[in-house]
Amino acid sequence: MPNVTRAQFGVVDQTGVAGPATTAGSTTGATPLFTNTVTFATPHGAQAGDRVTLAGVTPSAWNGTWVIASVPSTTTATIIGATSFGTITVQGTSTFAFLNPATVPAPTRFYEFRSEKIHTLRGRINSQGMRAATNVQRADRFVPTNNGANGDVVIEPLTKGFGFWLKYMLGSVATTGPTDSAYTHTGTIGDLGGQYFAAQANRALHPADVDNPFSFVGGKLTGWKLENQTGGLLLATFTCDFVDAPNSIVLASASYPAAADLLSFAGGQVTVGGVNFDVTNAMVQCSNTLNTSRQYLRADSRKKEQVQTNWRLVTWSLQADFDTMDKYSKYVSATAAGALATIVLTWTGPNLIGASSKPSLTVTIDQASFDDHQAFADNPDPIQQVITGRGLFSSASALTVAYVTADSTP
Amino acid sequence: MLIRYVGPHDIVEIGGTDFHPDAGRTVAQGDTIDVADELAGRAPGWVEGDDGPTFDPGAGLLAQPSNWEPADSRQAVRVGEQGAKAAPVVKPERAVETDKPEGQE
Repeated sequence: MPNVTRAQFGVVDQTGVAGPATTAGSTTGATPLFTNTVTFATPHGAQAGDRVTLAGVTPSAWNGTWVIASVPSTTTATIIGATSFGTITVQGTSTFAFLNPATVPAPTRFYEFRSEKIHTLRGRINSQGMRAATNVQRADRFVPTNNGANGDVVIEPLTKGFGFWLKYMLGSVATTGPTDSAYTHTGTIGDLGGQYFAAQANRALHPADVDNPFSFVGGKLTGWKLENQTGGLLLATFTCDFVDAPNSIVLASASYPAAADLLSFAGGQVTVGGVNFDVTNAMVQCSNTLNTSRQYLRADSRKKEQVQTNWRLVTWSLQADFDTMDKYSKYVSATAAGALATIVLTWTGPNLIGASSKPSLTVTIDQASFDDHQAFADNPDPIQQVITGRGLFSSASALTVAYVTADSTP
Repeated sequence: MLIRYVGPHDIVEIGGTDFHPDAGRTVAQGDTIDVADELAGRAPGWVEGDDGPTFDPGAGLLAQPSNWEPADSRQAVRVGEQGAKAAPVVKPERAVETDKPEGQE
């Protein structure tokens, strides 16, 4: 039986682990830094750098989401801030955003996918010690390490289900609606910290033809790409990185959004500076510049949370007939302002959600810099221009992805 | 077993790689569907043991509490448990809002 009959790929949010109730809280320090120490009823399992959300606590200054500065004991955690939270007089609840391998949930979102190439990474720390009568490294002189997993997943975005990815692509997502039965989930560049997803891919054995799920936890997107060319479907490539790849999770029971449509060039449109620009190829991608190798001497070779280490890099590319000189003019502009324009890429689905609303996926690069322009006469065909650049930050999010869908939540 | 779809989509189609007879059936958000017990499965939860509580990830569709829930409250009792008290269900909560507008510390 071919793999296609058993291929399955699913994901699930892996954040928001319910933690123990608080039992005490106090503050030390003075302006400008205070150390607020909270005590829990039972061990919380978190470590420095993880995030905790406290709620229902009095004084209310304790309530909110905080990065844990240190873990003095298994039941305490410190939060360093510019304000004194005071002594807790009314206890509250806690929710942790950290990776707890013991409570990996089953995937809840399932996708039709073109490929998944998530590679389990196991390291080998090899000895370089010499000794007599040894021409080859000894078999007992290397140490295996757990380096997590990484790789690309390519999907064909549909008019339903894509919203899950916005948070991991950009960091922040907000939902409005419904309006005319349509919800709009808008992703903007925000904090990627404390947000994990788990993934599961079924890699059936052959010829036994039995399910063989591979699970990956502590996932983030180190980068992503949306691309579409004339005659093709919109494709999304998600470059994933995972903290671990446990192998004991059973295959999830899948369900897929019904009555969902493909997004393709047929519903695609690009504007530059508010003016339609007929292109043959369009691509936008973003590197989240995550450090994916945060391993420490901590009696556990697994890496810590992948964290952003640099500016995110938003790049784009458009190919079109060399119809006018206006794009070239932006490229050669003597001023920065003259080399900028807002680029909007929109893919609209074919069928209505409500009375008049159609599903869509819209990417807005608010300040697109025209960094390169190529238009060469190298064959008898009409000359094409290829323009590339970056998305830069001004007052709005450098990159916004808005998804109009019937899905009530991203 | 009667289960209700409570997930984000307006309508879903049940999948399944083993050609289960329920595969291909559709159910709208908020509606119930009667599926085979092994496909319905059981909800995740903590199970008390000699060495303290351990997490059971559940099985089948009910292992996804953000998508599916038992339509009959009597069936909320975990498989294998006696009595009417349901085990606590660990619901994957939404990510905490820690985001700040770009450009701000």
